[in-house]
Amino acid sequence: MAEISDEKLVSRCKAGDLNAFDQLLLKYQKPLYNSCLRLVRDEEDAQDVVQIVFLKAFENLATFDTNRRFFSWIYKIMVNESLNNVARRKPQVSANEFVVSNDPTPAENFASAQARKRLDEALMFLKPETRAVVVLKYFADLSYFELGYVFDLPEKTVKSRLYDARRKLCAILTGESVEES
Amino acid sequence: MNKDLVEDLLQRELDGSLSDAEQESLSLHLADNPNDRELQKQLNSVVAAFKEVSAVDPPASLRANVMQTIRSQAVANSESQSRPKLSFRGIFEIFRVRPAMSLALGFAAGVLAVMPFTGRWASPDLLPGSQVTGTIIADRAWPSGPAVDRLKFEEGSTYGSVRLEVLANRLIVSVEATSEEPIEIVTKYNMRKLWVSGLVSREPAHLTFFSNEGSVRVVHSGSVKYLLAFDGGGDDILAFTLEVAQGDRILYTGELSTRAK
Repeated sequence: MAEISDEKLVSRCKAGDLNAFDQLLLKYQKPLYNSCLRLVRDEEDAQDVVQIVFLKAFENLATFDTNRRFFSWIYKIMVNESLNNVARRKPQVSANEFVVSNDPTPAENFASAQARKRLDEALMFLKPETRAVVVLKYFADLSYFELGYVFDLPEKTVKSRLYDARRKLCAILTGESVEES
Repeated sequence: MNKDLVEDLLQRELDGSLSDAEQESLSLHLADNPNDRELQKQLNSVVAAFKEVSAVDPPASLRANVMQTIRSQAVANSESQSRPKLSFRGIFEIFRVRPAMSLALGFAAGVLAVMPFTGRWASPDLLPGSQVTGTIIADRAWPSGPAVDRLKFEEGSTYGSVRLEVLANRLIVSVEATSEEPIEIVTKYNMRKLWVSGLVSREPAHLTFFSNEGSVRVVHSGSVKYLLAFDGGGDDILAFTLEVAQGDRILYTGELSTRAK
């Protein structure tokens, strides 16, 4: 069966069809949760944040500009909520604490778990706003145009921020000393 | 080739958006520039690292919690659409006060008998470095539009937030707080309608209470998010109090009540 477009689902939601919202939830909960997880770095916090994101999206659906793409809009809500969550917490990692651990995670694929752990730790060195750009680029596959909308930045600034972030990640992952964000 | 151009080409190479001519130009440059070649190699390794990471499934309770809350709200809305909507705009009395003033305002609230509805919020002295924000939003139909009648008060640095929305057909209370010491949140309610539903972070189950009178108490340390939705609007609130405390110290109190007509 052909997938129903977001536009149609949103339209049905606005008409009071809760099943349509459930379909949007089903479609976006995984990418949103994974992106959020990279930003807040806590599974329970990520669940809380994503629940709030969907409830806010539902609450504000009437104000959603249908000229925009739904997923850009909901990612924007997620980034704001995640950054608020991060801002409420104290920094958890310092440059001196960055280590590449060899501890296996039994329930997961070993290589992927290692890669995720390494990358997650490296990401924590980036400023939250910069980290959000990287996460949405690579975990949500947003275009520069969409990233510009989510972060209220010109595309050129998004590209520049992403390039700086990649270089910094290079330095971290190859063990070079980096300036702590 | 200048640094900005190399940067641009490397970036676009990672995005897979280089033309054949640009790719050739970059390759020629890299052949003669080992430093930039090393940079290209490292950038590619970062992108490869992202590709190695597989996505994890969100907890099943995420979707269930969201949909149960939304369906509960929808049921409440449909039930209340048959009666005229109320507007509390301008009726609220919203205060941020010190403990002594809090008592005085308690008496003052009793004097305001002519008002069909009163609200009182008190924010006593906070722990050093603490912050509580409070918001009361009135006269807003669920789930439409941005908030109106928004008032906010803040002190110090990050601590948490308390939020109350009184709608024509819903009363929504949320508390977010972060603290290493346990935080106690107690909500006591007496509503004309029969039920209240809620989400409390760290609790796997969606909470539903089939009672028009009762209390909800949560004690939690770390990060807590607490959301309760009551069926019924302003004239259905017979009594309602919210208290946020830490040990013997009350951080926040709120009280709403409807007077008999």
